[in-house]
Amino acid sequence: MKDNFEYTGEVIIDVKGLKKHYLGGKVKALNGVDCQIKKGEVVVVIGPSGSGKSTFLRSLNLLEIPTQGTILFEGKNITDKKTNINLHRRKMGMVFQHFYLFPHKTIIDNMTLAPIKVLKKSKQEAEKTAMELLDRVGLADRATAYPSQLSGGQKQRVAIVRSLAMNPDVMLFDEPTSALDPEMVGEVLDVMKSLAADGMTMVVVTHEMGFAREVGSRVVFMDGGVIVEENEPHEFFEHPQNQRTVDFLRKVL
Amino acid sequence: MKGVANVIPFVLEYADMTVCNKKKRIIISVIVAVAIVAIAVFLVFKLNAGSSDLTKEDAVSLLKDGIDSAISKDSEIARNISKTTVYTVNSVDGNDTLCEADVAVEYYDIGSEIVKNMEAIVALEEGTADGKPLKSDAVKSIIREYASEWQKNAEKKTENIKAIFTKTGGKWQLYKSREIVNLSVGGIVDVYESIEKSEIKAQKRLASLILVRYETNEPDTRTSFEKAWDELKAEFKLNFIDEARWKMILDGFLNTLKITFVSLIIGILIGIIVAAVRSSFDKNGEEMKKRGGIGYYIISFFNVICKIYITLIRGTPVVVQLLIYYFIIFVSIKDGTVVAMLAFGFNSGAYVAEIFRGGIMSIDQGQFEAGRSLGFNYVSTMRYVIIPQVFKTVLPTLCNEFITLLKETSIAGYVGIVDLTKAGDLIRGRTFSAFMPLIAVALVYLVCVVVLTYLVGRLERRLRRSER
Repeated sequence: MKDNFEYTGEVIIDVKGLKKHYLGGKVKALNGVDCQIKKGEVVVVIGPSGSGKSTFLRSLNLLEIPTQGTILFEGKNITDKKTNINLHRRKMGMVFQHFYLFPHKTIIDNMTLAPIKVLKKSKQEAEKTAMELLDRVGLADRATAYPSQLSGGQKQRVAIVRSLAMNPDVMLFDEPTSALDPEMVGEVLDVMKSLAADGMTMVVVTHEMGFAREVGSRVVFMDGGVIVEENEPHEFFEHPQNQRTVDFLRKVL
Repeated sequence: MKGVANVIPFVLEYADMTVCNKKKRIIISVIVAVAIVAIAVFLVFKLNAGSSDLTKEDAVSLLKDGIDSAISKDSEIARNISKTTVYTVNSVDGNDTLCEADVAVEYYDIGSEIVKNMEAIVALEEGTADGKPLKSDAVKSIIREYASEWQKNAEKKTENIKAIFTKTGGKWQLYKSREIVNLSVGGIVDVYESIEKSEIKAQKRLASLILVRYETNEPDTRTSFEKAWDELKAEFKLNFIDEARWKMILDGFLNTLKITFVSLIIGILIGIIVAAVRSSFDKNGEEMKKRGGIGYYIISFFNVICKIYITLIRGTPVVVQLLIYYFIIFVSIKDGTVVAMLAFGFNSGAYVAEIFRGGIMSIDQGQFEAGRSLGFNYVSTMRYVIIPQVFKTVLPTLCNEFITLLKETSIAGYVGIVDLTKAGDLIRGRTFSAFMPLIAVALVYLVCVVVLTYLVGRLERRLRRSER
């Protein structure tokens, strides 16, 4: 899959001229980002802290409301005021650095809450899907546990399958392994790898260069609120074009 | 010493409730309870059977002084004879308010002498040789002469008797019983009583010279503890039992509870609404503004209204608010209780709103984003994700607000409601005794608050446990 950089599939997210300013323009988190994400792609966004990569990712499902620019999701302009963003968010799974499982609900309830309330699935159906997903990440036996009883890695795996339970078209990962102890990073990356192998469209903000190289179909390097360079992983890591990319890679590799 | 050393970690563990296990807690609680009861019993016993501080020497001088004061100013004969009486105190026994002394009284039995010579006294009535009746002064001087004769002839006797001393106003005093007085004056009390109603003038003269008073009331044998207890019982009866005054306290308490519950419910309803508006504006206002439409302006408007409400309520004393509602705003409502419910409800609403808002704001923004990213709209996110967590965090604070409210309603008396406090005050006004009714009122509040606080504590612990 990754060998083939030129995706012929349909464009699922089309970002044009995205800008995000804070404090009335004093802070420019995003300063004109153009990016197309095609179906089945695994786009890995890297960059130094403060480069705007997280803001970019959070803008994709409007957790950050862009100051300027348009985002087309499956052909629909979701930055338009008249668009009901709630309908589109359910097709975009999001995984956070700090998991954000609902502490007052068991694992199975965490996973079935949105399918039942938002997608109006029956409880049995939702639980069946949830159990299958839990089984897939090896946590079926923890279904009735509370989030506080789980390790960080387990929590993040649950967070991933909680999003998957909504059967999304694209998954957004916001530094999913940054808050984990080193020995737990692997189990989460494994889940993400298997997800990529199944053909899930993924946008991943991460510092895991190994993951970017191995799983990514495209690496996007952001700095100063713009995309500095993007390329197929092998080329990107072996032959970075931009000086800023070279500097960054020298620091992290 | 080693035993003491063993106790210390025990106590430390007791202080740190999280460390100590249940068994140890029970053991320590029992030990502490037993110790407290033991100390209480000891104190009561000490008060009850407080030892006497009366010495034998004191008893003797008290006897002398006591008898002296029993003798009437004019009864010279009695006074003269009493001076010859000798007291020997053998033992003193008793408590802090009452003592009994074994006394050997050595006296001259002048009484018998007088009785023997009564005929001579009566003869004085007949007059002198010249047939004229004697003047009263002359009779008196003759009797005095007789008296010195009687005194010389009187037989010396010794008798053992119990003398009772009582302590009043911090001073010991002889209880002047008939027996001890009679002995001390050589038996002339008996004589006096036999002639006091006599029609014979000479006997009357004699009586005036030997008049001695003694106490006829039984001595107060209660100890100071018993006295205090009896006083307390009387106070209790006066303030609670008489005219069924306890009913006033009960009715007042029910009124207090009624006002508290209703105003709490009003407060929670207002609080939820205000908190919803305020936190919606804080959390969702920006998004609404960007999306445009009239929604943002509506929420801004209500947000300002809520802010003004909270500022007004929190910026003025609740008494003033209550008076304003009663005398200005709700003049048409005649029932003060309803006004009080509304007043305390509106007041509590502002505080409950801030409790809820604080609770909502204390939930990690990520929880909110997680909900939204799963496709929930703002209201559903609040309903399914945020509010259940908020309730858990604010429940103890909410209960504390309830406790505060319970105490705050004590000012309801300002608008003519007989609540618990007012009931106590009314009783105080009628019985002119402040201690019982006010302490009773305080105790009722205290018990309520302590019980509620205990329950809140349990609730808090249980909530914390489910989080672990």
